[in-house]
Amino acid sequence: MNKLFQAILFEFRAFRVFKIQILISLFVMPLSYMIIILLNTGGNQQMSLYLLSGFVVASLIGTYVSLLGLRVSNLMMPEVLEMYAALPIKIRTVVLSYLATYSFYVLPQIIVASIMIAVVSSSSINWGLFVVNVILTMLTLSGLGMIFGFFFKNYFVAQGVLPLLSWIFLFITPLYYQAESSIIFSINPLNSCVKLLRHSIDLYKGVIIWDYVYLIGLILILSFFVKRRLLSVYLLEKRF
Amino acid sequence: MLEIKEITKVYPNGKKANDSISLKVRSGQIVGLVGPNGAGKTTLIRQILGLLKPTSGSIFIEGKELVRMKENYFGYVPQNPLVFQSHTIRELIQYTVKLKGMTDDRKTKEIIDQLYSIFNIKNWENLYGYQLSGGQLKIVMLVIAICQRPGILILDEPSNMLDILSKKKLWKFLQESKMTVFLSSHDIKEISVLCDYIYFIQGGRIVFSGNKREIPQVNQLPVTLKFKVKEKIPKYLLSHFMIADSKDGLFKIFSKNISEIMTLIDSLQKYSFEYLSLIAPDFDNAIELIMEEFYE
Repeated sequence: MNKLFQAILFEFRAFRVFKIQILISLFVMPLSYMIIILLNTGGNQQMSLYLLSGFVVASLIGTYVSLLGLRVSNLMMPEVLEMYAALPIKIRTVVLSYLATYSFYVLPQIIVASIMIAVVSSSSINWGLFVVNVILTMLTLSGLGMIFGFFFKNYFVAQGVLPLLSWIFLFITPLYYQAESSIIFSINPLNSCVKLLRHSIDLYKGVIIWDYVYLIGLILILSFFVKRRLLSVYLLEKRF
Repeated sequence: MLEIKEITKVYPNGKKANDSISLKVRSGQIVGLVGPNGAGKTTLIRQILGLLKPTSGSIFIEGKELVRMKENYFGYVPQNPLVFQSHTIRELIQYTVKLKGMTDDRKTKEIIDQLYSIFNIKNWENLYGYQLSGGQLKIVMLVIAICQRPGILILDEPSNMLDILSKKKLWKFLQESKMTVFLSSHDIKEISVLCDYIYFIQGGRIVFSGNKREIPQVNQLPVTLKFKVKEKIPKYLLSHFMIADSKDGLFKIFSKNISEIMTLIDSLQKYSFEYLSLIAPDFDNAIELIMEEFYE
């Protein structure tokens, strides 16, 4: 635990030299985007809530699929693994420290969006359920991000593919647009994530039990592969 | 002690990088691994570190088979030093010591102080990783590896980016430290200065091994003679010698036979020596000859 704590502190320190980039890409740009979205709703309460819940999921996609995925992919490069082999720390501790750090960095966006939801909404919000659903979304996306990171061992390929994957997720999930249900939505786990979030803020009235089953099942499968990879000794061998 | 028994590594593309390699690194020994590029040195090191799985064979540490990466056992300096770009050197060293749980360890502090003084690290300890030169990066990796006081220090080309002064300081430190070191290097001088025992790897196989005394004997005591004489010497005197260099009248001659070199020196005396140097047995030359002999 002490090693994980040290690793997280080390990660935070590492971001020092990128403080302006972090401020802009993790706070200024997403929050400005959120304000633009809200301005475009023209005071429509339902639409604002719809877009704000979409914004929460979109922020998590960017953080976990793009940033965490890229970081894990970079870690899996032979020379980076060799660099860590020089330190008295296990790779699983390093990956967990990445996860903790990125989760911390995305929190302000989630908190600000949640405050905005509270301000805009006139109906009752089940905050307990909302938090549980945000956590489920975080677990799903962080699992996907890590799996993608392990899969794309070539960081230079990952730099091209992972941002594209983020965009594909944004494209096939009704975060910022409304659409009738289709086969893509039913198999897309992020559709379930956003549905659950919208349910907890009283925007979605349909049945959600299958979305919970689907997400929890997916999280268990992702956890199995992530754990297997993290406990693997021979990290330069096959992907999983 | 590290013992490798019959390690073979075949990559998925069918390339055999290591072929039945067996070697031993005893406590307190400095053991060298010498071989040309692509001989399989890095693959072997990656298997020892637990990053690659041997296709067959076993690695033993202190008599126990290495089946999981021993987090605290090895100190490692990779060939191409990557270092955390956004941390200062002082932070990196402190981080290593904290992770190792040695913050209050007196011996660790002494080692760090000693390395600080050897490499004048105080002058650049507040620089960030991205601000360092190649040599400084290598020094940082060396300090990180050594300050952990590992069971075995694995060094992959440890001095290839260091200036000659830093190299010599590092060699002196390693010789005096009595650490167990497994050293992979192209630098024959480094191998000859440091290593108690040397393995030659070629095409993934250990083609020869021996200590400093045994290696020159393999090649019948290789000798290097350098000389310059005042007068012109007849060509026939040197006709059956391997002349490596003869710039500005300074001859460099290799031979595998010390007695014929002694005869040559005798015959050259009447031409008045201006300069004479004899290295026998020539360890560097012996290594080169072994490498050439096994080079495919």
